[in-house]
Amino acid sequence: MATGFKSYHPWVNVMFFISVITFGMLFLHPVCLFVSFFASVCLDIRLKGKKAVKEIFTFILPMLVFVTLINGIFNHYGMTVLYEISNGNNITLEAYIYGFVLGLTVVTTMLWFFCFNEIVTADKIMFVLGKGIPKLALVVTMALRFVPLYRKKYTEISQAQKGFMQSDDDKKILNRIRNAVKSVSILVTWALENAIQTSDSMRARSYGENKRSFYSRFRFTKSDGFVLLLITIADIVVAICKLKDGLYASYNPYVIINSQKADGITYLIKEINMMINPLSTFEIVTIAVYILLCFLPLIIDLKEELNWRRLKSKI
Amino acid sequence: MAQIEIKNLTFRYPLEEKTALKNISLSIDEGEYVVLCGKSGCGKTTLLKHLKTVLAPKGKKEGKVVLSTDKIGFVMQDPENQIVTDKVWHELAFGLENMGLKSNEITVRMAEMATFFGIEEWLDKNTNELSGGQKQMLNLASIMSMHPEILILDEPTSQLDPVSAETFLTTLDRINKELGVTVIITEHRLEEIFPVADKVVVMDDGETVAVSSPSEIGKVDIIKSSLPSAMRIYSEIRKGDCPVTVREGRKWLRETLDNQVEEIKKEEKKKPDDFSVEIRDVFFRYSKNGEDILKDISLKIPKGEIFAITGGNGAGKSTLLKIIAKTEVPYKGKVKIPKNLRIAALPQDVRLVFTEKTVELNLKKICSTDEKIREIIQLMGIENLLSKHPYDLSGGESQKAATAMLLLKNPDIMLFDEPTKGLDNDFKEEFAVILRSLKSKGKTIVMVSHDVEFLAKHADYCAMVFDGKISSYSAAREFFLSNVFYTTSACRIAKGIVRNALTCEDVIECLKAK
Repeated sequence: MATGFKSYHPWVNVMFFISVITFGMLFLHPVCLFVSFFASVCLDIRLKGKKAVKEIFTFILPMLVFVTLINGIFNHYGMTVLYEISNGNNITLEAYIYGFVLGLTVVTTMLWFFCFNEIVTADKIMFVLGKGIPKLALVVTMALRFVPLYRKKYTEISQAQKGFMQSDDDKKILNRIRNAVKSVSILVTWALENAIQTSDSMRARSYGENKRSFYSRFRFTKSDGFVLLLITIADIVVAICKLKDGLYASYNPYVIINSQKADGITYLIKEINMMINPLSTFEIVTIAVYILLCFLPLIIDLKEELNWRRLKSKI
Repeated sequence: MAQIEIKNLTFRYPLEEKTALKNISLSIDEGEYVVLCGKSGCGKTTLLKHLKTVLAPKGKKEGKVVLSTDKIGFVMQDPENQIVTDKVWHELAFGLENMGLKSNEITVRMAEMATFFGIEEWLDKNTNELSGGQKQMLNLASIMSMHPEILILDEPTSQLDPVSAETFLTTLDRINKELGVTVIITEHRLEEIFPVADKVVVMDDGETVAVSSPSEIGKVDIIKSSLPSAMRIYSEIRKGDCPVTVREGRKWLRETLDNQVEEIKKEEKKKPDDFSVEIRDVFFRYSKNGEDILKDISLKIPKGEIFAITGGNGAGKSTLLKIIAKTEVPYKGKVKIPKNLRIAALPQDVRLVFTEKTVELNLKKICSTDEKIREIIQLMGIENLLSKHPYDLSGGESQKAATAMLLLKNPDIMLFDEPTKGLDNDFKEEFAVILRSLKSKGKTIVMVSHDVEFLAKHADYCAMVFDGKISSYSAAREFFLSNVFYTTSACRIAKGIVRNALTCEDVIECLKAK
């Protein structure tokens, strides 16, 4: 049985992932990047345990390094030249920094999709699909039945053929291909023949007579509503910030973090051509909201766990 | 007024000269349990389909079918093909979705059905993980969830093993008795349903020959071969009241014999001394980390005899046959077949061996000499099937066509997997004749079968597989006579009354001698 965030309604799950993945790709601000990255790492580890840790060290981190290096080697924009190569191109700091930003975006998106895979199971996808395009959802469920069915039947057919013909011509590749083609042809005939019965069975159960309703085993509860509301509010806040060009970051030709403000202190690091402007109050609020949004599944899981502990200790 | 009123129904399929249904009149009341029986191809299925409007075949129709309700459920023969979706819960909801019901209503009905059928544990399973019996039960449940007032079933248990068939029919009886749903069923297993049925309709060649209560039907000759054993024995003697169940049969037999104990003598089959296939210490599993399906099996199959392998579901019978046919290889142990003996196997679904468009082409593919083909065609009596597509044949016909192909291959050892599944008794007898003639030509026949009645009559030796091992092995007569549950109904009726009686013929012979 699913617990924590996984047990929430598919709409809540899907809405969450749409939000974090979209924002993860839109915001290049370092704070946002790190928040999203750490949240996805934590959630992935929470969901998959040791397997996730292994994945992060063997795949995610090398990927990050790889993207950073590749971008640094093949791009030559930016003002801060680290050194010149013999063909006249510059290796620049900006290219490396941007490479790192790019890499972080890519791996964060990947990690979110890993989590998506764990949380949004096949039947949740079917639910979302069914609400949108019910006919397609039915076709997909039928197809999901066909795949293992046909595979099993294919084995049965090739075994039947082998047992009946008892020929030892399997050693030649050409013969093996010929046998496989024959089996597929029998499979197709069999499938078409049986599809007629399936369609009879569908019609016998009033398929196509009325407008089909869509049944799902998911119930939208109060807490689903509450969490969905939280996500929506967070989305609105973050979206407004983005529209107002808040949490701005630019990496070409030199690094600028945050847009210029009338008050506050601006840091200029001359040696590496970096400008860091102060954050406005709204931007600080947005970051807080963004942290809340990205860590929402973990907060829910943690809360549930604490609740259990408390209940247990009462007994 | 009756719930179903069929008046002078005559029907002919397009492009066919024969009328499929001739002037049928029948009325069925609410809550009745009606059994439709008759030979294959007598028009049972056509008649059933006329009762379900959406499935009614197209053709020339005269007469009327008046139904007082349109809530009709239809269960078909093949358990697999009726399933539409990939999850059990979705399959249960499928019909209800089609009716446009709301989710909470569907939940209520689904919960009810799952409890009634005892299938709560399966709800989250994929439909393809279920066994044949479970699939058919799911089909029944998903139709019952639509609350039909009439339930029509077209040979629902013909593809099931005896145990699942029994469970299915028991559930059906509950539906009829506890919910008052009208049941109309066609079946070959009359043994199990005659005791619960209210009315039996016998059809022959598109006509209704008799309509009466089960105990009266013994007088109709046409279905004599498929009657329950007690009734079959009675139909030859006709004394006192007609028994239907085994219990009534025993009582009747005791009365008829005046409480005396009889004994019949049959010569005992000798222990075989010539063997064709030898299996030695075989272990088998399907995957590396899977469980052993066969555990230390050793078996010698006698040459030139009909040898049967029986056993419960999943005991490893079919696997054993695959190993003999060399389509699976054991990871330990040996299968020894003399080099000069050729072997060939027919699968359970015989349609899988047809590769060509017509039966004739399929035969020609195996053997090119016309003379030999003609000889086999005559032997099997399949002249009228030659131009047909293999998938248009009935169960019995395709079994014959496939056997003809096997005969053309002319192997010395022939393997059959459940050859009598879904066949009616007349076809079974025809098949038995073929097996006999093969045996007389010195062929070794190995078959896997659940069909106790068939094996008791026609097999020479029997081996029982249990838990991946051979649990018993003896001449078929002794094998079934020594069993208490796993034996023929005639043997159960005669146990302790007529000693050594195994088949209905044995008992009849003994009674006639008196």
